[in-house]
Amino acid sequence: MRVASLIAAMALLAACGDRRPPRTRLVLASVRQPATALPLLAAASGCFAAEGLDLEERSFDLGRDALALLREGGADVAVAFETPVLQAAYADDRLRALTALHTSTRNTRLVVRASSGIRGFYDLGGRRIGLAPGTNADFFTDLALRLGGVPRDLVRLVHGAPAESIEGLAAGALDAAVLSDPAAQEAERRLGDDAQVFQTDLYVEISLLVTRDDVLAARPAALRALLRGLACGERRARADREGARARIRDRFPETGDAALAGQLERVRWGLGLDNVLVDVLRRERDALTAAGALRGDAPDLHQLVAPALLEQVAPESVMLLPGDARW
Amino acid sequence: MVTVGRRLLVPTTVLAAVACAALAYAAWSSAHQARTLERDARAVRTAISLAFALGDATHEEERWFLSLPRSPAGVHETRLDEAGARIAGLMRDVEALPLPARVADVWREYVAVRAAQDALGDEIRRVAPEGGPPLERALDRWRLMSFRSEALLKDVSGYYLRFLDRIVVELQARRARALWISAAAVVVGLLAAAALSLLAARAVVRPLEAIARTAERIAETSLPAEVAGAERPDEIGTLSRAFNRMTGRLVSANARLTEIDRRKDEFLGMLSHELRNPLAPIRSALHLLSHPAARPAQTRRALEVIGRQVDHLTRIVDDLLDVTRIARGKIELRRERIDLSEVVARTAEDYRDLLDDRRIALEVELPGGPLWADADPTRVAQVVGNLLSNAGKFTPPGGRVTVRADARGGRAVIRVVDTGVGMPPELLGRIFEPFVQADRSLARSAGGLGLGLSLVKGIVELHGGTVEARSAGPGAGSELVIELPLAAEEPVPLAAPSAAPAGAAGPRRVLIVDDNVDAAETLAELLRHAGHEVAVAHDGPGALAAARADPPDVVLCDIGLPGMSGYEVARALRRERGPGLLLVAVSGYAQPEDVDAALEAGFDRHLAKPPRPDEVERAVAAPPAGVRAGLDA
Repeated sequence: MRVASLIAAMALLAACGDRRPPRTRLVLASVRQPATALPLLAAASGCFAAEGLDLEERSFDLGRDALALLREGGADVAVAFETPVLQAAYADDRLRALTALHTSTRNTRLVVRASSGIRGFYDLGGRRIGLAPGTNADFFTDLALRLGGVPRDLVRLVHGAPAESIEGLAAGALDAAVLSDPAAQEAERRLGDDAQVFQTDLYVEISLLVTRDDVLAARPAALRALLRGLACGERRARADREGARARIRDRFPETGDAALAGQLERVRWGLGLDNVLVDVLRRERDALTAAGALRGDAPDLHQLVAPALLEQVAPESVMLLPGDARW
Repeated sequence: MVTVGRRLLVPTTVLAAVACAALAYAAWSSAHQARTLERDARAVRTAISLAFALGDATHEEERWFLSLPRSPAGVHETRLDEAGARIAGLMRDVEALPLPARVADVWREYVAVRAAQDALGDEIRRVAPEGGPPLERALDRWRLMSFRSEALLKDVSGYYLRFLDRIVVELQARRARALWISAAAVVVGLLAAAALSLLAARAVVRPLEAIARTAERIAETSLPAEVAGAERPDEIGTLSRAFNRMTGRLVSANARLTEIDRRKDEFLGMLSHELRNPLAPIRSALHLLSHPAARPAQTRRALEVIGRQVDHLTRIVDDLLDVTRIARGKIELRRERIDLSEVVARTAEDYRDLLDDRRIALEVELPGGPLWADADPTRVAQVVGNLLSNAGKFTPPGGRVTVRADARGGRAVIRVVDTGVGMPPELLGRIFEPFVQADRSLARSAGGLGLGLSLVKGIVELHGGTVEARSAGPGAGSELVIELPLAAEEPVPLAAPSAAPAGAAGPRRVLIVDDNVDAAETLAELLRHAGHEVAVAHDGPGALAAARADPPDVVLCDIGLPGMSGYEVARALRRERGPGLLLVAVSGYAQPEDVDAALEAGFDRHLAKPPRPDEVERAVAAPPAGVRAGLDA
């Protein structure tokens, strides 16, 4: 009896002495790329732990798979590029974009066999171009063809996974392929001196942190804590890029140091919701619709983009024009 | 002194300083915030204006670029140049602004896109004359760049517009904070005022209430009572100390009054005893006189007893009156040049029989020559007599009383030494106070009110002298020493007294006016026995009627008459009879002012009751003042 009382008293003291708030658990479905590694950096820097978050990560090679887990309810939030987000939003109006995580103009590029004679976008007419359908490679392709003045129907688009496009280039079955890092780096390595790259700053790719509307309504505090943790990771990245690279190094063992450094040079991590994003989403929506890649009712971009939480955490990061109550 | 005001001043000053500091800080903070907000608002307005202007200029430029295929060149060149220049100017204005970090990042991207557009613009102008697909491709690229640049300008505007919203929200929050602070300041102010009031109550009101309660207790005669707070260094402390001193004096005064009351009661008891003592033998003597079988010797002794006892009563009354007059400063000395040795010798002889009766030896030691002084002989005799009477009272039979008089240092020194009961040291300083007697038992057996030495001191001091009592202690006898100032030179021989005025001798017609029938009849018998023709009236109208019916030579009139006072009778008689009538006031009102009033009313003389028979006879025999004045002239 006395021992039980002593144990109960110690437990009570321990409970009373433990002043830390209870930890919140969130499941994050992410894309395993250096460009989308900001959550990795924030976790490795202790930013989520400081916010009382236990972040469980489920990693995927493609964004659409991460979004699929989110739509199934297996994740609370997901990270994906804007193209698969737009496609998922066509099929599911529950999706809400809380913030952009990175922007890049050089991450996705046209890798060309130099021996194919392609000198620029304008030479793509009649060429065989590999790309993964339903991805941002679609948008890049559309933009490249517009910049080159080449009608889409004059180009032979070969749909396939990035690995298939790499093999195709190496075998000479493809003249060019639209690839993103690390696949683009791998293709360049495989082609060696025969590799040539064409890219444009008019192309912007953005990765987004997306959730469902029910999660947004039920767990705003947890989502705010996630955003604060990501803002903390952004500050660490800006303050020490070398240190940031070192913290995520172990997550990409297949990538050499130089390659990882090269990929991160093409990426700018940062939270934000701005008019460039809206412009990209709008033009991408129009392009994908014109290409037949999107069918059905176009998603309401004002419903898809949800700036309220980011405005509470980092108000200067929200640059959308006010005046419209839905922003 | 630390005043209550100063004690309250410190917390009041502190609270006022805190309040002023808070208000000053609030005012400074509000002003600072207002300046900051105003500066931010100006920056926001400027940036937004420039961003919108750039957007407008960009649209204008794009419109001219996109209209190139359909319009002849030349016209648009000018418009494009103007648009480009305007855009460049606006960009310089934006770059002059202090841009936040986020906006600076967006602006750098916009500048890069704008540079690419400028290069594309040159290409467009170059291929424009040719037209066709190259121009269309270039214009398509231009559109794509415009999408980007427009989005970037929207980012700039969006940032600042949202910043403006945050400013508004901040202003609202600050206004709410200011309201809360004001409300809190009001509450704090009220609490501070309440605290100050309590402090003031503790510092001022409570002590005053305590003083008031103590005063009420004093009013209910609950002495002694002291108030707390006398140790305080402020006004309350001063008031408390003054109050306690006042109560201390009240206690002392109360004690003195109680003592005086006790001594008054004791005196009244003694007075009653002293007055009753002579009345007993007087009554016995009167009874004897009324007895038809009384022998002449008995009758003579009875008359002597009555005379002595009346004298004793008279002395008691005179002593009481003298003590009162001395205390009030009303006694008048009739100074004349006298020989103190002669007065001492005469007075000693007057008391020799008294001392002999008590088997007390009396020795008189006088200087060979006179001791001239300007003094009242009657009062000096009274002083020496009181000393001898006292010495005889407190010396047992077989003892000795010695009277010495001599001159020393310009002063006459008169000593009365006895071998009597002596005085304890603590009594020596009080022996000259009224009603104080040494040995009560002996004093009571010898009689007296204890006024003698008090009279001695008063009279001696009126003469400018001193009196001192000395004694080696109980049973060692006493010595009373008087010093009086001597006159500077020998007196001028006095003129021989004038002969008695003519017409003053012989029987006279006397009218006695007194409402006391016994007093009037006994006085009338006395005067008839002296050979005078006497009439009696018992009131003023009766006196006037009697005086008209049988005009008298002398009127002896009491003052206190019913209806018409003696003064009015005197005035009436003086009007009717003029100065030839001798008017003598005979009254128990014998104060100096009573004498003055009598003389003013027309009386020629004033005799104090009970008058001595010889005084009455001399007064009746004297001529009126008007007649004396005529004789003196």
